[in-house]
Amino acid sequence: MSRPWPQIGLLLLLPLLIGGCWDAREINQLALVMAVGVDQAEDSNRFLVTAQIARPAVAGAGGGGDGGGGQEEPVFTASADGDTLFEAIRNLARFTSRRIMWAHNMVIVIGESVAREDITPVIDFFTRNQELRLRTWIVVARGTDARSIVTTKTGMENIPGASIAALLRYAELPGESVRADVARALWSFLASDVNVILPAIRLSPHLAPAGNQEGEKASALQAELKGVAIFNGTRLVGFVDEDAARGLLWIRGELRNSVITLSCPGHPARNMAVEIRSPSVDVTSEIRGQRPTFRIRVDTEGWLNEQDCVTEDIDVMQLQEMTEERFAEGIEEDIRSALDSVQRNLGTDVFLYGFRIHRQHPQWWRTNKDHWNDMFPEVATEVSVQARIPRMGIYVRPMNLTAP
Amino acid sequence: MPSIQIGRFQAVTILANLVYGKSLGFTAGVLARRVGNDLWLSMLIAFATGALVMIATSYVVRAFGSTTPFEYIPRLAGRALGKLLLFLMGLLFLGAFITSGITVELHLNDFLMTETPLVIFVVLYTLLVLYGAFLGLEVAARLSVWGLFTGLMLALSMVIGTTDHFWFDRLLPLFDHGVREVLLASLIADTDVAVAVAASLFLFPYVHKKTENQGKWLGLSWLGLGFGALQSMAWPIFEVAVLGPEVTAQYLIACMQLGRAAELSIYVHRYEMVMMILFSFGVFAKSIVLLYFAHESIAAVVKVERLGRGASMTVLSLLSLFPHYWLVSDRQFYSLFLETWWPTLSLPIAFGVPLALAALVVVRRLMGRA
Repeated sequence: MSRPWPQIGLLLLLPLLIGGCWDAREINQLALVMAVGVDQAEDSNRFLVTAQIARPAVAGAGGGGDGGGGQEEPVFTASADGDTLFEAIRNLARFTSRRIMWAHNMVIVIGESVAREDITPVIDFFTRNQELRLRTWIVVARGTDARSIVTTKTGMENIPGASIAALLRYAELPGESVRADVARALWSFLASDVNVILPAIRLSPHLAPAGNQEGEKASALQAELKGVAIFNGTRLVGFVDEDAARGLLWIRGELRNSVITLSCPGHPARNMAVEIRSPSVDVTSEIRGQRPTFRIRVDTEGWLNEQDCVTEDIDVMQLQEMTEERFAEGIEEDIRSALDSVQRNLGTDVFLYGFRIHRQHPQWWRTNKDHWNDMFPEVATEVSVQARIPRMGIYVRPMNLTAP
Repeated sequence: MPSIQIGRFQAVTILANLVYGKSLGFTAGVLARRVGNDLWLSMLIAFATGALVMIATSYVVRAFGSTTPFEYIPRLAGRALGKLLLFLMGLLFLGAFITSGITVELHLNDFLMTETPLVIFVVLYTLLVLYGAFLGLEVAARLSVWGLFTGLMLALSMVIGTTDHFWFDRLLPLFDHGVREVLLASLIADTDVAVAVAASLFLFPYVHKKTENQGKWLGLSWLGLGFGALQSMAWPIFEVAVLGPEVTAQYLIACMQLGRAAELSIYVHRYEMVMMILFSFGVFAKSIVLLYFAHESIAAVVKVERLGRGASMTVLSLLSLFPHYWLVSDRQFYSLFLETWWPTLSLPIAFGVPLALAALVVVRRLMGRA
């Protein structure tokens, strides 16, 4: 008969595992943070942290509206300050009845004041913390503080944090801002040949004032993705908007989709809308006399999705040719606009030029990387655009008035 | 000839799992701190180096057939030197067992059970591995097959979950830190591969149909190394291309950060517990094999037959708890240990002993001919 002692010993040890004592955390004792904002407290160097915490019972019951949750809000929003982010967050525990948990946080909003001062504390704290995941979205509050963004009831979701996360997830549709998660922000922050860019978010009046419709509780102000926050090292140095933001995405090769407005043939005051489809960008560098020159080659399709004018006397092939020409010009203008805004005005390499030249000319990079920031504003860029319009919605001819 | 018999494919999976585990995150992090985006090249070179040294181990295996290293090493190297070599191999396997245990323990303690005292993980993991080693190599072999499967599934799920963020340019430029630095850094990755190389020497006598497999051992060893590379190499490549070398360098367990960044659509956007389970089988099987070989090697030197295998294995495991806890209790020191001390201590044994044995076999043959 075999000796049973090892089995008996293991059985006696098993109860040690069952309790899970040290890490036992019941869900009803946790405060699940959905969004967090980081500001500089007024008139001090202290951090002000605002956490949007889900109230699952209310949120799940359709709270905030007239559903099962009654008039209760689906989120509880609270702020606390501290000399460090960690201290501010610990101070939240003074009045929140539950233990703060970051594992489900969707968005980090950095207040403009913090971003202009230094984003190091935010990047450090939220990437050092094992609860937070690197796929958490990160944005900069523009023209307002992070607290206002986090406390505003915005979007169609019960949880405003989820609405902001959805905005970022689908940011490629308008193509006028970027998508940035903590992983990308941390990489851009740490890498020597890249600077940080983050999406900018602001509050903008997009809904009818509250109370106009029965049951409408959303505020008039909605969170809106607006432009791109540009950093030099650890500090925010400015924002770029609309055309320049799209141009920036072109140069970085990150544009997936957008709408470009062109003037109608023969009707300069009227517009056409072309949706950018299947864009492809090739950025190459060349060293000419120790100075690098970049060449951006864009090859893209566009779909003519709207024509606000009647185009007499031109056939579809002529319209296509004219639109393609304007489309290519429009793209080049966007790129030039980004070059002006960023390279000339802000002087910080967020085009990934340093990143590309490091890979394309590693020897040159090794000897010149320390002077790259000084060289960047003077770097020349050549742009060439190949643009095609293979579809005009489901039309096959221009919008012409024809006799019956 | 040992009475334990394991299948050919089981042996291959054991070798595959022996290179698995620490290499995904700990070694990758150390390499990223040394050679940045070239970390995957260093790891690839380490696998190639291991494959070359395996030629020497298979040569020794062919020379001695079914005889165990515990018998032929003292015969080949002389009684005293042979015992010393066996004792050193035992210490190597024990050290590798400790580092494999720490791999699992720190994954759990840093990410999933942060409040649980580390000593609990150390003691429980050691006891579990002890139980596995007590059950023997056949159990470890069966677990290894499953471990290889789960390791491949884990790699596949990570690849699928992070492909959207894969940026090939981050892998470039090649040899950015210089060929010499990349080669030197590959020595750190060699520590994972070399243990499998050394273990292949000890594993062969347990494989069934020895006469038939003796000549095929090099191919089988390479196959094991190949499977090990298949389940391991995706990680450093994706760590660089998805997270970036700078982010990989920032963390002690870079693979966990990559795994946690994987999203299988927006519906399965986090599955770190599942990942941890898939990861643990292979590492657990590896730990069992290493503790088993550590015990057999040391027991062959320190005569402990009177104690019985179970008791001597328990004593060895209990003794290992002290260095085990000492290493794991300070993460900064452990990182430094992996980068400096461990390669210095382990590589001369793991590569050196098989190469020395192969050289002795060559010398003996030449002398015999003379």
